[in-house]
Amino acid sequence: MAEQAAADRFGAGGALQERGGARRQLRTFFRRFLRVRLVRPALFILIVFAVIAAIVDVLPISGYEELHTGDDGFYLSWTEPSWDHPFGTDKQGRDTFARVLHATQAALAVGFGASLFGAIFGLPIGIAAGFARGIVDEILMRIMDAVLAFPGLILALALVSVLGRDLINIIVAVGIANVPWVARIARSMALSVREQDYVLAARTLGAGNVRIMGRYVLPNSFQPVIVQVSLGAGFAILAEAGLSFLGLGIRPPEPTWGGLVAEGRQVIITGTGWWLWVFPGACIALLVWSLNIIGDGLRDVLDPRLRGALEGD
Amino acid sequence: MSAYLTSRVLQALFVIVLVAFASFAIFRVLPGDPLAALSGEGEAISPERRAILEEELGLNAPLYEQLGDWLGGIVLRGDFGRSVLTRRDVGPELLERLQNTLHIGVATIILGMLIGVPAGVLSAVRPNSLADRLVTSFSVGGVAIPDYLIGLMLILLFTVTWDVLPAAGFVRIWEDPIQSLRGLAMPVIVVSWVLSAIVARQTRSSMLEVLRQDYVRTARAKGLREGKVVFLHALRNGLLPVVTIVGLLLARVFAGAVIVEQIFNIPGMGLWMVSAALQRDLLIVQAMILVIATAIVIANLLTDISYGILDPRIRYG
Repeated sequence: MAEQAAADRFGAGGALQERGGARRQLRTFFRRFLRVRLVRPALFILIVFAVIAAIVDVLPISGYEELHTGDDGFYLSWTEPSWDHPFGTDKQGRDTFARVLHATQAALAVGFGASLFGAIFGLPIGIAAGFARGIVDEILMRIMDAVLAFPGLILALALVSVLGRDLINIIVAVGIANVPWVARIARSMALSVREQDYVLAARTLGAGNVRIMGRYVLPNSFQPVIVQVSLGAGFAILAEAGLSFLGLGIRPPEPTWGGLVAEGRQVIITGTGWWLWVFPGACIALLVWSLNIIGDGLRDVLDPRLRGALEGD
Repeated sequence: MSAYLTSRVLQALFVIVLVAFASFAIFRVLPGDPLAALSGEGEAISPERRAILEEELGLNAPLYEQLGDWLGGIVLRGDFGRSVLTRRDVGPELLERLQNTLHIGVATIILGMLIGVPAGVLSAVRPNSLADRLVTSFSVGGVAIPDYLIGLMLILLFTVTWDVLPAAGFVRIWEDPIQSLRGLAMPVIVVSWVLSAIVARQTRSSMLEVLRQDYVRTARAKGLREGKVVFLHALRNGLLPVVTIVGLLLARVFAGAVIVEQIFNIPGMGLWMVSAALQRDLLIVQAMILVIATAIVIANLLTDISYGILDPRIRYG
């Protein structure tokens, strides 16, 4: 207890803030964050997609597997966008609008699932490496280098070919590529925090390594890791869409943006069906763009020193 | 310098060993079946047939022995093993396909540099100008657009609408140069799109840094024309940090190749890997990720070393 009180007095990454002070800090943060160029439209886009994903099951649109037929009883194959089907229909007469909206769920699930996966595994690895230094550090970071040597999409492709194509497997396959980025950041935070005076103070008062890592290093790593989670989600959405485009994503009939683009690709040479790939493609680009802008914005506000240091692939 | 070199080379070798372990482990330690390609949807191959095949492919040896055989074969004899499906050796076909992928790779890196470097310089020389804003928006927005989307837009324009470029039918440059370049045009634009965005971003930030230096001010003060200052004095140092991202660019080229080879039907490594992954012919995927990751580790090592040679200010160890 004595050690905790003393350490608190030395201030552990803002832990000693009064509650009002913390709230004021948060408000200042948001005000500065919202002032970063393009952050407002990016947040707007992200929120729109999140709301769509949340309520798509109760929206009054057709089911993503529903086959539409025309007045003549034939399937409405490849009809152009119209009032009834704003994004047109596909070969079997399924409504592309409904399929694009439904696919938002898969995109966000893989995007945030994979980037959280990276954070959950990358944080302890990085903190342990930076804290232990020496041979442990060397081995852990070389393992991270080895993971980094595989281009993200290609690693995901290999893992999916072994693990299979369930949602959870795809999250893992895409998420592994995010682990080394988080680990590198956490390691550098651990390296700098362990030299701080308040850590020395805590140590003199008898705090063990685990306590120091949990109480001081971990909270200090959160901010840069949040930046990486945002950028990593953008990468993960691109990777998931890439896998689906290649036919290695979530199994049909569950719609995915990448899968929809692939359907459009099959007929592109006939000069028709542009609505099949333009709309889902635009969704991927918009969502990834907004996550990149938000990630960059968070980085600028949270820690301007990190500019350019966290380039994710 | 030599102490640094030795430790850097050892480090890279260690990473390559880890990469080889990982490539093997993904396919043998994770719950997957090396013979999955031979069993149909839902039905397994008969136990007798499995026993024969496992014997033939050496799959019932202990894992460490399999790993040793696999790596030993590659390092000593260039033998990458055999496809479960076609029973053909992986090595020779890999070499064939590597050449096709290199067509895309070489052209992409050249085009990416030709676009990215001037764009980055332009925006660094005039910060906040219209040109700078265009380049910055491109380097942030460009990377958000998936490569296949750009590919499809190009096909819609150049093949479907104007009919000037073929959407398939790759030939090698030494077989028919004109036809080859026509076939490469769209895939290369697609991959260098992202590449030039990355290069532009890197060039811009390093040029901004360099243009602030004293020696640039001296060059200006002694009355040199701005063009000379930028291109003769600043760019030489400004380009150095761009060299360091070659490994990253190589990774983008391989990832991009997977996509464009699919779209434009180019028989390279990417197309092969995807079809092998779809058929679960795992040994091919295993060989491919080993080759790609090793190439990237070596590229990173070479850039680190050449960085020290190119920049005399850096003294190692």
